[in-house]
Amino acid sequence: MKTKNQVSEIDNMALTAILSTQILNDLFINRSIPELSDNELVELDKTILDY
Amino acid sequence: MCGIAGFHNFHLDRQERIAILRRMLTRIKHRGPDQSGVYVSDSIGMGSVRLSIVDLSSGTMPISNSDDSLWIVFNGEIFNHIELREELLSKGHFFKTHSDTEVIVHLYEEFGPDFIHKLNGQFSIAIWDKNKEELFLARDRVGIRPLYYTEREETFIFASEIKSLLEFPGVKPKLSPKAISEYFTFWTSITPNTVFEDIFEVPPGTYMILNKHSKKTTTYWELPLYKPNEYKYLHVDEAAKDFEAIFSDAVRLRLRADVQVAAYLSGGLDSSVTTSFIKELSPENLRTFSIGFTEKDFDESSYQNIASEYFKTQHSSVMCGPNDIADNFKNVIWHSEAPLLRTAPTPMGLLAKSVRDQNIKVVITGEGADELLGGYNIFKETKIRRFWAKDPKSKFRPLLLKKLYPYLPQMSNANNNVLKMFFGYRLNETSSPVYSHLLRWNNTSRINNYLTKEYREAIDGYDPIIAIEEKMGNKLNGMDSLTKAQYIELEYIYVRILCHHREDGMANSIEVVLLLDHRVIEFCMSLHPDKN
Repeated sequence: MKTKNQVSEIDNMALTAILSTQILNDLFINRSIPELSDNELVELDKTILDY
Repeated sequence: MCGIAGFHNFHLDRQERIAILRRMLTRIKHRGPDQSGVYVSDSIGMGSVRLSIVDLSSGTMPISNSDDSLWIVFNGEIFNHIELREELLSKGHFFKTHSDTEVIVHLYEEFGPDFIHKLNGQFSIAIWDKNKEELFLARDRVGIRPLYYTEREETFIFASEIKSLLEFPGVKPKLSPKAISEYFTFWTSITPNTVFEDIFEVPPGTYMILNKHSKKTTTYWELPLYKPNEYKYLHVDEAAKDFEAIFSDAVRLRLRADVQVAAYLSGGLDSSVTTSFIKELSPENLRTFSIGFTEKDFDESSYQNIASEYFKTQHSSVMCGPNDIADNFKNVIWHSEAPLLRTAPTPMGLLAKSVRDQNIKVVITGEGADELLGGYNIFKETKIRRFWAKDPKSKFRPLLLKKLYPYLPQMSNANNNVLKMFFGYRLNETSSPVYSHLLRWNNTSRINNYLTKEYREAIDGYDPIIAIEEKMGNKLNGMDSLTKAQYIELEYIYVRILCHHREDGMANSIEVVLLLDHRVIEFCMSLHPDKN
């Protein structure tokens, strides 16, 4: 891109693909999203216990 | 919308089961902020978060049949639920709610797994049969609604989103180099793969039945394929008339909801046609939404305004600029759970948020027409390449490609050598079932060059294009070239990309309804290419 001073569609796709994969790795593999705390958990409107 | 999650055949104490379900459901609560519920026994734990669209007051899941032997959690909409309910009532079934969810569990009771053929909808379903101790999982015909699963030791874990699976103890994600190379070739992975090792999707058009001893997957629907001598309709007028009837009915069914239904209106042909059908069926005030761009090269606001004025809709538009895309891109990846090769889902996410902020829960989109009716340039490009391949030395045949892409600046000055270099890739391999997509995939796959040495070694010679050719086998032998291209686009590419991109709706708690009615799909595939 620096050499040609223009960006092709493939260059755009490559940038987006690489960036999105790195973000994916960060979020899901490195677990950068905080763990859920107990007070964040959904309150259940319906609980069926069938024992 | 809704989200579902669950696990089968586990060793967890009773308190743990509910705690884990709550964690799994919390990760997908954006899909269903209205209600949540769980069903737990010694063999199954499953739950849902609900976005109420049909039967707002009493449709909280899980829902059972009359004797509580079958329990269901479900994500999606069954558009013909009214007709199916009437059929079941005539057979003596009794309903507790007015929801489409309850119709499904009674259908299963009456017809067994074959009930799935009766559904017109977009759905992922989990039904627990208490008497047989079997779990039934199903996904709609084209895979509009997601359903993922993984197995850990003997436990089977399923959910609407991968992030929910990761809340089950011991499930540790790992990126799959082979799947990444698929994404960097096709923009998506080959079903049932996801980008994560050992995490899969329930393939579209299939259902699974699991018990303690076995797991069986059955295909209940495939994209129909017609050989040239099998096409229906000799005359385009006759085809158009029948298409109008089927499409109108598809729209009619999709307008059914106990909440207001809006439409996306981009100003293009597909969304304009969809809006015109909606207005004909439901002339009262229609809310429409679209996205505009601060960069003029991408902005189509003028066309959107023309369409909105013509159809007399109450129109809202959201403007999006480069900073908006940058600020929201990470959140989009969190929801798409896959690599993306375009940033388009980001403005769509902003649009979905705007829809939700205006208290709309359901929006209809006209996407899919280009794939079904051969509207994309790739279909025309294939035709030109095949024509050129019959006389590869022709000076004139490749010039037709310039006519196809007049808007590309590099095309206006391109000579035959340039055209041959770019468009002549594997020109003569017209017998390949994936001929139509070879050029695109080859170009895209250059992104794999950016993978680290470690990842390229892990891919170890795996060629996604060969993998997809092997998966197809002889299925496309004898088919017209447009049919082949449409098949690849619809079966392997389009809906999977759409699902990743449509997480914009799910992230913002709106139900995005697609007009991929299976009757419309089947009709379009039966048309001679000239009629498209």
